[in-house]
Parts: sequence; C-alpha cells; structure tokens
Amino acid sequence: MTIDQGKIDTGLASMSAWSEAPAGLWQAALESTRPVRRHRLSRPAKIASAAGVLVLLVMVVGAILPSLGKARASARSIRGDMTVDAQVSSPSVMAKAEQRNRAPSTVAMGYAGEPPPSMDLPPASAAPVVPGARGNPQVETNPAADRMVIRKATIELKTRDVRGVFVKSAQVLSEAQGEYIESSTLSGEGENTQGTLTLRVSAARLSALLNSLRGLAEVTSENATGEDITDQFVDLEARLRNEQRVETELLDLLASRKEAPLREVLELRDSISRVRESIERMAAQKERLSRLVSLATVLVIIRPDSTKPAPIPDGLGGYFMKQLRASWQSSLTFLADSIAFLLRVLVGGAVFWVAAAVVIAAILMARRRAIRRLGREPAPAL
Amino acid sequence: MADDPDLPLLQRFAKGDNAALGELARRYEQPLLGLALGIVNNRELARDAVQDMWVRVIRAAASFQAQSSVRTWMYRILINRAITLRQAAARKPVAVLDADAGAMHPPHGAGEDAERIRAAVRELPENQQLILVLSYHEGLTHEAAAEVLGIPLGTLKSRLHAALTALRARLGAEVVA
Repeated sequence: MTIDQGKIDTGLASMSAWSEAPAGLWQAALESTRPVRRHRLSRPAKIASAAGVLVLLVMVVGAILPSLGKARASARSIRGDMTVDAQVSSPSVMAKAEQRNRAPSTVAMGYAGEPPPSMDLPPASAAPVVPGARGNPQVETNPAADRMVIRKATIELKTRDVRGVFVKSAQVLSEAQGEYIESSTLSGEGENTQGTLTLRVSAARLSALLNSLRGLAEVTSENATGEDITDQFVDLEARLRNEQRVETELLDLLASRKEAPLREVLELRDSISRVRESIERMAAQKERLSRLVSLATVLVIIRPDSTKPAPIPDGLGGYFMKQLRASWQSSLTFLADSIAFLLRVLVGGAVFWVAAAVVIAAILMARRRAIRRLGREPAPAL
Repeated sequence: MADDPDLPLLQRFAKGDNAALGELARRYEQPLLGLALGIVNNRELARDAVQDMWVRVIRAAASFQAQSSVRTWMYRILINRAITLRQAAARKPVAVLDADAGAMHPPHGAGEDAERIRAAVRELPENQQLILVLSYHEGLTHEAAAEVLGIPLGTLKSRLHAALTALRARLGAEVVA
C-alpha cells in the first residue's frame, strides 16, 4: 500500500490539531493563581513593612550596642591588667608605677547649678590588709587586691534648711560598722547658718554614703582623693619586724651575759629600751595607718541657699503656663535624647548596618535574578 | 519586539486587565492545545500542559522582558512543559501516552494511513518528532517554528528534511514521493 507525500503532510498536520472547543484553561489557571496574587502587597503596605523592619532593626541594634560596649570595656580592662602584669618586670616601669602610686589621685568637680554626676569610688580595703613584702609575688601580680588607700571626700551642699540637712547628714552613719562623727560645727543664725561635719565612715560604704548625702540637698561641689600608702605600710612593717628581731637578740644577749660587768648590762638595757620605744612608735603608726585605710574621711559642708524661690504663679492660668513650660522643657530633653539615641544606633551600629545592607542587597539581587529568569524561557533543547 | 501584536495584551493583563488574557487565550489556546497534544499524545496531559503554561504566563507577565515575541515565549513555555510531562508519564509503570491515541485525532486525518503515519512518527527520535510536529503545526510558519526552537531557519529546514527522510524510511517503500 503506497502513501504519497500529501497523505504524509495531512497526517503530520493532524497530529497537532485540536478538534474540540477551547477548554477555557486560562480561566482555570487564573483561578488557581488568584490566592497568590491576592497576597501581593500594595506599595504603601510594602513601604510600611519596610519601615517596620527598619524600626525593628534599630531597636535590636540599640539594644545590642550597650551590652557590646560593656563587653568591649571589660575586654579592654582585662587587656590593660595583662599589660600591667607583663610590664611589672621592667625596673623603669616599676619605678614609674611606684611614683604614680605615691601621688594622691584627685577627682574634683565644680558645679554651676547643675547636679554633679555621681562619683562612685571603688571600695578601699575595709579591713587593714597587710600586704606581703616588696618581693611578694602577690603584690606584683595583683596590685589592686591588697592596695591600701586612704580615701577622703569633700561634699558641699546647698539648702534652705541647713539645720535639717545637718541633722540628717549625721544620721547616715552606721555605728555598727564603727563609723563616727569626728567633728561637727553649726554656726550662724537664720539665713546665715552654716554647718560642717567630718565623718569617718567605712571605706567600703563610701560610695553609698556619698549617694545618701547627695539626696539630702543640692550638691554644689564634690571632691574625692585617694592616697595609696601600700609602699609606706610595707616599709613600716619591714622596719617593725627588723626592730623586733633586734629586740629579741638583745634580750637573748642580756640573758646570756648575766655575769657581765654592770656597765655593759646597763648599756644593753639602754639599747633594749631604745629599740622597744621604736617598736611601739612603729606599731602605733601602723595602727593609725590601718585605721585611716579602713575608715574614709568625708567632709560635709552645708551652706544656706540664698537664691530667692521662684514665684509661684497664681491661679489656673499661672499653673497652666508653668505646666506648659515644664512640658516644653521635657519635650526638648526627650527630643535630644531621641536624637542622641539615633546617632548612637546609626554610628555605633555601623557594622550591623553594613552587614544588613549586604544581606538585603544579596536578597534583592537574587529576587531580581529570579524575576528575570521567570520572564525568560529558554528555547526547547533539541 | 515592539511590533508584537500580543505585547499590549500581556502588558494590560500585567496591570490587572484579565480580559486581555482572555483575548490572548482566544487567539492561541486552541493551537496551543493542538501542539501539546502532538507532543504528549494524550488529551489530559495536553490540557495539563496548557494550563501549566497559563499559570506560568500569569505569574511572569509582569516580568516579561520582550526578548522574544509573546507568542514565541508562550510556545517555548508550552513545549518545555509538555516535554517534561511526557517524560514524567513515560517513567510511570503503566504507560498512558497512547491510552487514547486512537480516539484523539479528528476524522479529517482519519484512516489507516494517518494512523500508520502517527505510529511511524512516534518511533522516531524525540528531537525529530518535535521538528515534525512543530513544522506541521497549523499555528506556526517555519520561520516562527525556527524562532521558537532558537535555531536558524536553514537549520530547521535541514533537520526537517532529515526527519522526513527518516519517517519515509520507517514507512518503507510504500511511500510515493
């Protein structure tokens, strides 16, 4: 049976002919994709979402930054300690450190009506600690641990009620911890009344006590010093031990030379007496130093506040104006705080922003590439 | 592709005018179904292929880059999808490709000859089958078929000639040129 070309052409054409009516498949496809299309966000919704994500990022970075700052500071301090430890072996560095330790450190601030920032001091050795000798490795490796520091602070307060603050200042002491008033003076009459107290407080409680005093009245000035007497104490101890050794030797000598001439015995007794006196003097000095270290000295000066009180506005209008002014001030403060916060987040979190930008750029590029791929169709492979 | 008559329809649809997609379907759905049938040899699979093609067109309408005509783009999507479906069906344990082969073609190509020709085409390699189906598809000229396949017209013709020769060989000496 023969098949001519015409039949082949007809047969081939019939292979890709659709005899039925169109099936409306496009509508079915439209229906099936509708949920996807409905979930597409409009432009305002996209902008709102992006803004929400940005705000969230700012909050997260803002929350992360302070803890990061603390971690960095702590790491720096650890590195600093390690550096000091490493440098102690150098004689010149040790000499410099000794010089620095001998010089009293002073923090002083003057105020012009503004409350001072708190000066929280690290607690000194509450109990008199006897550090090791100069060659003691404990002193070299951890100098802060056994340091003996004499703390002194002066705080000047301004108030309308000098007598009230004077009494309250005396009440912040804790007698249970051996704290006491070394001296107190209240002089003047009426608006010229002025009070001064010298308080001896536990060195460990100095910061807390200063905080209590700050709460009593307006602080006009504050000053704190710390004198490191570790070396002095160590020298004193060494000399004391030496004198005690000499005393023991002299006593032994006296016991063994009972048959010696009277003159020699009397000379020996004189020497023992001199050594004994020296020992007692040094022991007293040591005791005094220990007391100075364990109890910090706080000088409280209370002066009258001579400024006239602000006139209290009368009536509802005055009250309204006062509230308005207060609100305006607090709004400006809040604005300044907000700007400072944003600046901190923007600049301090630069690393996070760069990382976020890289991630977002990568996502956008991948998305664009996917869209491009979607809009193109490769030719069928033959 | 600025003179593409289908491009405004696709753009209108991308902006939300579903009627534009209906117009595109009116122009192309029937020929596309026929082409799919020619590739997969099964009505249900042909419908699936065309519906999948519409889904793809709907999703990608906004990102269509007009590097080819809309018609070429749609044909390419359909052919690729139909080939995938045919291969997936061929992997199934029960062959469905020829399940309704006897009933699917219209009577105008009817008769024993047409059936023998179709059977001979199915025995050819896949690329030759595709060349033959596409070249004899009523919706496409040879130029358009070459564009869909991404090959020059001369290449299409030479491959078509080779496929026809192979088909004639399959039909044996009965062929009268």
